[in-house]
Amino acid sequence: MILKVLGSSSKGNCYLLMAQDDILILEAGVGIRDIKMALGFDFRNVRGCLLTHEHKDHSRSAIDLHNMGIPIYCTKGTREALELPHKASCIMVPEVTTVKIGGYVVTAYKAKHDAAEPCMFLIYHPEMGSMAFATDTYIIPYDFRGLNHYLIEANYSMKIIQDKVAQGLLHIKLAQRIIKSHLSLENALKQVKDSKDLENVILIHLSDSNSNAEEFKAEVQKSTGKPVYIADKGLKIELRREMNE
Amino acid sequence: MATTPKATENKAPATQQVAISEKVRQQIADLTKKNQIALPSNYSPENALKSAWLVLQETQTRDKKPVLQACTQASIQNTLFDMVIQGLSPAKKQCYFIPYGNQLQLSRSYLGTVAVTKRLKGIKDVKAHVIYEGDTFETEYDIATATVRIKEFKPSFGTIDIKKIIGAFAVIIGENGPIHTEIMTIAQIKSAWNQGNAKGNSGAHNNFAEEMAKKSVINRACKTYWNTSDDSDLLIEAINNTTDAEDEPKYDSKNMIADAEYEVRQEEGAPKVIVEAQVMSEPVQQTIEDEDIYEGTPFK
Repeated sequence: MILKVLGSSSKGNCYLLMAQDDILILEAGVGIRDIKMALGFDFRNVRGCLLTHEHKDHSRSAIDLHNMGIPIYCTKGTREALELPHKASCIMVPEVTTVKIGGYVVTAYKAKHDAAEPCMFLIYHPEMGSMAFATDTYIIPYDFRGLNHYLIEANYSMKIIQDKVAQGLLHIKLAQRIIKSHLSLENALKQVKDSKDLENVILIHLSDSNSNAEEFKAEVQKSTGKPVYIADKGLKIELRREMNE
Repeated sequence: MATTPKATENKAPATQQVAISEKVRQQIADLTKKNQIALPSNYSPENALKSAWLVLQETQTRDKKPVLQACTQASIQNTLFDMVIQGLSPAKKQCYFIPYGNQLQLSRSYLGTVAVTKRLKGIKDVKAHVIYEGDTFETEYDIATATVRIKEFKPSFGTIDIKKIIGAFAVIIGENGPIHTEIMTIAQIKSAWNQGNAKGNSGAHNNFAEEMAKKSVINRACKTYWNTSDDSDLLIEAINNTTDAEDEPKYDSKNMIADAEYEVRQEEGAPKVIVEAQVMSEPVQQTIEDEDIYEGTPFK
């Protein structure tokens, strides 16, 4: 299973999960051309696209994917906000709906963000095991146990925000909004700290100005002892599942 | 290389103007091409930039230095960028430029605030009225929508007296009528004025109190609509980057950050729902085949 990062910032978010013959698109926040290029203009194995919420940096190309016949999976609120046609999209009810998308099994969970009905996903595929995908949420109200991979937002660090506001480099209103809509490094750490089965942690959606990639990486690595990646545009890693049993 | 000081003085701003204007224009053209911003159809960035330069050439810092020399290039560029993104023009008195040390800052008048708020989705107009002593003014609460509405307002010509203002209200009008009503008493308005530099004692506050009261209530009503936004929403970012010309409260930044952090920590502290991730490999509750999707079967 290969994970490709096409974008992971407020400019645009898009990730590709590429199994042997199943491809799942996570978010459609980059230009449709970028997605096409990354797939080598080959959509034969694309099974669907998951959207967490309707903000542009997560949904820019959703309608294009829909027009190409790619099923879109999102919550009812997201679908209504995006005005996606009913026909080619599937509603995920958080904590209830579990769907099979090709070889993937996907469940939605509630997220906390200033969007219509934001959600996060738990994704299972035999090739990689289970993975949580949580972005654009200021808290994660779940304790995911037995995860193999965690694709988790680490948008800002409280310290950097405080410093920047004190120096007048960041508008107080904006700072407030970030705190009440995005996941801090500190909260992300709490989530991944105690997971035993975790094999990879991928930190996503780092803010351009309120984060420090190297420091974040070192800190998470120190507290988990697992390989940590920063989702930079173009990152390509292999997700595997260690068979211990 | 003996150039007279006068010659350099004249030359520097001219080349600076071309360079900075060009940069801003390119930023904007780039964003428009990528569909990240949509400027109002009757707005010309070129014209706004030109009139901004005319204003900037006249603007001075507190110690009487021209701002074009005192302020950093980057801050001038950012200010002009914020101006164009919001579709504002200094020629229409929608915005001003204010230097803080070597940082230029865009400041929006209430005319600008109304213009900018009207560009947000679903907002058609913003209207404000002043309530004088003797006017009939009654409000009611709508339980269904949890909003306060004005039940009755009878302004009378005979009651108009700027010494006897008892309050003001602003109404934000959406596609289907009023969507938000903001009411302020004169005491609230005066404490808003107190936050400003003039402390509510300028000539304008004394002689045109009704206009100043309208400004305050409009500013407060519009602010409600700027906080919710997309991450990618450059318009909202620009709006929040710009201060209000009138009564920008001096934020207690430390407490505001601490409050937001506390709220998040409270929720973070709540017990977590335990989800066994590995259970997912077992039979699923619902399977949706691609065929279903294209036939438009309704899903739960």
